[in-house]
Amino acid sequence: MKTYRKTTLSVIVIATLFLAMVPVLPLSKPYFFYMMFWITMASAFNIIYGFVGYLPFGYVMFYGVGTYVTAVLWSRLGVPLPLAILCSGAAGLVLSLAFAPTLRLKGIYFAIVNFASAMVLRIVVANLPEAWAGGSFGISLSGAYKPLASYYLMLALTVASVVVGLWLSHSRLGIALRCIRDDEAAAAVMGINVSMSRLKAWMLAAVIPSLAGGIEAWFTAIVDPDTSFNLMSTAKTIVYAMFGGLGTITGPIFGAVFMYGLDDFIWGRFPLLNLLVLGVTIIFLILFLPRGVVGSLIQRWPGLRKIIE
Amino acid sequence: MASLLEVENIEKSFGGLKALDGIDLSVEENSITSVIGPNGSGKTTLLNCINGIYVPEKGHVTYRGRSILGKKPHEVARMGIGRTFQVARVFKKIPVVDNILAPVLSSHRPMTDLRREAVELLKRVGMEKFTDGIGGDLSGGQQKLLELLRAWIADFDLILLDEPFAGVHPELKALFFEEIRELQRLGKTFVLISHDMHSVYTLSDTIVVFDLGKVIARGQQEEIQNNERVIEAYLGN
Repeated sequence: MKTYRKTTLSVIVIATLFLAMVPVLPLSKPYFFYMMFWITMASAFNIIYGFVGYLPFGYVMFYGVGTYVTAVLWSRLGVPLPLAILCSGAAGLVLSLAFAPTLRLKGIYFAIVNFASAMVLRIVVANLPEAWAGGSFGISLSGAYKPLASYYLMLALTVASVVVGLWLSHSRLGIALRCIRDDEAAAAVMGINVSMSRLKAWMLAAVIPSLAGGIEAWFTAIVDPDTSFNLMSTAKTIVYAMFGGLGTITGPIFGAVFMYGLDDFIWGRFPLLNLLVLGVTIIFLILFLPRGVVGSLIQRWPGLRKIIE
Repeated sequence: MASLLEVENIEKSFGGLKALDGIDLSVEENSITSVIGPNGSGKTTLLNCINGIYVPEKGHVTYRGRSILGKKPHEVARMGIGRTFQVARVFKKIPVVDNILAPVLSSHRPMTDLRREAVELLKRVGMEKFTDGIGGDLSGGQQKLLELLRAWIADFDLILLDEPFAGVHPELKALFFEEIRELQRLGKTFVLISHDMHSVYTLSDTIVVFDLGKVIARGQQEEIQNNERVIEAYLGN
């Protein structure tokens, strides 16, 4: 086994064991739940932006649909929560297929259309019959509140999303996606089916936040359109993933852990400065660390590729 | 010898400009056919029509007797037609080995075997020290050589070479010659576009001359060198 693979797997095992012990330790369960949530979001986002180079500004829509599918299925149809969460994943898949034609667009055009799609979805969900979707007040899942079970389910999803990233990194699909990101026309001439490879990545990047949405709805026991389709969630996902380093596996994890920690610290002590810090971080990132912390370290010392990925 | 590729009367326009105006080309199996002509005469457009980047408005392109007109570039590649580009198009941010693996990602061979073969190919051309580097680390000439290694590993039967010798150091060019000869010995067929007349004369079985999107001459070295139209349009005195 290669050194970097051993390093990454060791870190994953240690981190998983620690996170599994959090509920029995005197530590804040919500804090670590959301840390895992952001690692999951940033890692899934890395698939579509880091690997493929597509920037979905409306990425929150997958998460949002995931929260609502779980909430509606459980509260209105009595579907058991684990099954409802699986349905959230399926809904994310369907949504990704519905928006698959937008993958024909490139660069800023794709980003803008995706951004607009998320806004449209938010309005659609907020205006669904109140008896079903709860209107602007949302839906309460307090009857299903099981923070411990949802915590462990989020842990499982976080580990799965990191493992998917690792697998993708060295798989044929992952190499094909990176080729497409670098030079789409040359990739096609090499025999790579550009649209199919991109669609697979898009579906993968959609199903993970949809599942995360379902689990988060269970954990918080409340969903509402403003939170579920809050574009700030996309902004945070992008910033966290970029801070660590897109296109790497450890980057989005590091970015999510560090930035969520910083965000939480600032939010707790200086609530009015929270958005200011996010804005300044984006400016700082673009100017000085366009490759993120891990990406910049690898660029500065290419030998690091042997121990981190 | 049997004809591997047949291009019949193809036309391709860009706005008011007719880049290809009724081109016919027959490429025999295991041959090297060179296409020469002034800049803008339609040589690269022809390659783009063969491998599916462009769809001609008129005419037919058949490969092994099957029409490939309208097929997507990845489908054409999977039928056995590979190509290199005028300005080498390696994937600059991904490892050199993965660059070589790009055309075999859809194959059923195990990745470990493919990686081993990619490293062997790098050794073959003295580029093994770049195994762990990324495509962007390579010089222009090395990038062109890497494109040829892709054709090696992919086992393409027909390889379209677009200006493979432009800006390449003489030593590397000699290596290119060897590799092309070796691939031809293994049964591969080439369509070569080049302005390097020494290479064209040395390697080609047939030379086809383009001017303003039309074929103005075809034949062996001597016929081409003595053709008045070719001298006037391209070779000069």
